[in-house]
Amino acid sequence: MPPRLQEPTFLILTALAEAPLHGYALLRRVEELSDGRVRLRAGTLYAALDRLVGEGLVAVEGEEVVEGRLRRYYNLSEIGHHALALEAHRWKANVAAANRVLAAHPAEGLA
Amino acid sequence: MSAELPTPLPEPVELSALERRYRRLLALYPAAWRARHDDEVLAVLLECAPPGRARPSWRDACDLVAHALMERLRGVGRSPTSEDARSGVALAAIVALAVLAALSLQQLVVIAPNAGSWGLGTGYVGRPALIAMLASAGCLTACVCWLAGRRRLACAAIAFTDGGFLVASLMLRHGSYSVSWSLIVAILGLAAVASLLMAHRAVSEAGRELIGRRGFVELIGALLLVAEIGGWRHVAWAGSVYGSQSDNGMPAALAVAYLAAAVVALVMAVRNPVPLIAVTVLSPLLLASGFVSITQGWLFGNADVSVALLDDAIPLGAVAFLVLASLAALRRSRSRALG
Repeated sequence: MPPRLQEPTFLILTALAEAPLHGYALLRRVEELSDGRVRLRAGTLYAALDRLVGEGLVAVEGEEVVEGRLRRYYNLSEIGHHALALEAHRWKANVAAANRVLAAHPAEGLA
Repeated sequence: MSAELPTPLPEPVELSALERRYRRLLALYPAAWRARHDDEVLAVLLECAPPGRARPSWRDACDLVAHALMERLRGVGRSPTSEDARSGVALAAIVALAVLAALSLQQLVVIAPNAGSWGLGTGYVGRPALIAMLASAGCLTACVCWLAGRRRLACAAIAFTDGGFLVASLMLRHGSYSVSWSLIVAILGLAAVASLLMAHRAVSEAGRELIGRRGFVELIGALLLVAEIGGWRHVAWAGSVYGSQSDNGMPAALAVAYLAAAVVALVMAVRNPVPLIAVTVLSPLLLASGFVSITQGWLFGNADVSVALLDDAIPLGAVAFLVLASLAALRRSRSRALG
């Protein structure tokens, strides 16, 4: 069983599942996907990207220079897709289990 | 490429100030990381900054400082490979021999001419002290034999050293100069490691290859620091406790420089698993030096002088041995080139 993904990692992989993104776009997309709950900082983002690239979940897609600044694009690898799908499935099962339990035991005053 | 989001660019004047400050923070990362990400992360930071901002937000600054620190510590924590371990132990064996050889030289050159007047070879302490001196001489022989490529002879000399220290330690086991079992085990263990490594051609050559590389400098720095911090004297006389002079005559300014160099080298060492492993393997040597200080303290009549000499003998002996080994390696490579 692969290790569970932390929420920021989960969101980074989700963002990259849509399309290859550069660092700034990735920060914004993670913020959007989490409805503003998760706002990654550059240091955190690149620490996570380094780790994900090292684990083979993310690959460097290419780079370009825009207005004199380097942009490197990151993409989800096949292993990354698999890990994300596995984690999503796990969360789906957890959510279903929680809903079943909550339905069977509603909080007092809400029933 | 998709997700081309609008990038709010700050004004040029503010940008340069902000960029300079971000670069200062990014300089905290290790060089390898900066070579990979510096420009890329700087671009992201600048794109994220609201227009008009001249200083990094404290959240960004904390984030960068924390991750820079983690990135630096990651090198420390990385699991050493089997090759790292082999090279580290080989380096430890070389330095162990160098230290023991330095001690042996010290005993033979300084003490032996006056041995008669000190009663060396007679009495409760004099006999084991003589045996320990001979054992140290065996170690010197082992170093020379190993350099000359006579590995079997070198191993025999190490075995002699091992046995000599064991006998001397056991003779001092009961009495006022009692030697603890931990010291005996440390000495024997170290000698056994050196012997095994010297018998193995591949490992000894791997150790030799480290000569002249940064790993050795780092190791010496680490040893210096362990010896100095362990003794605490140099730190003490760097302060106001002893004024401007050390207890063995070294000026305080030099002591501070000495210690600073050791700290820098130690920081380098902990980032590289090879010297780190070597220091770990060598740590019993510092304990073992305590054993020799007991007999020398008696011989000199001044334990402080003996301990100071021994502490300095560790790095100096290692340097001396490696200089000799480097010269031998240079001679070999020249003769190969000529041949």
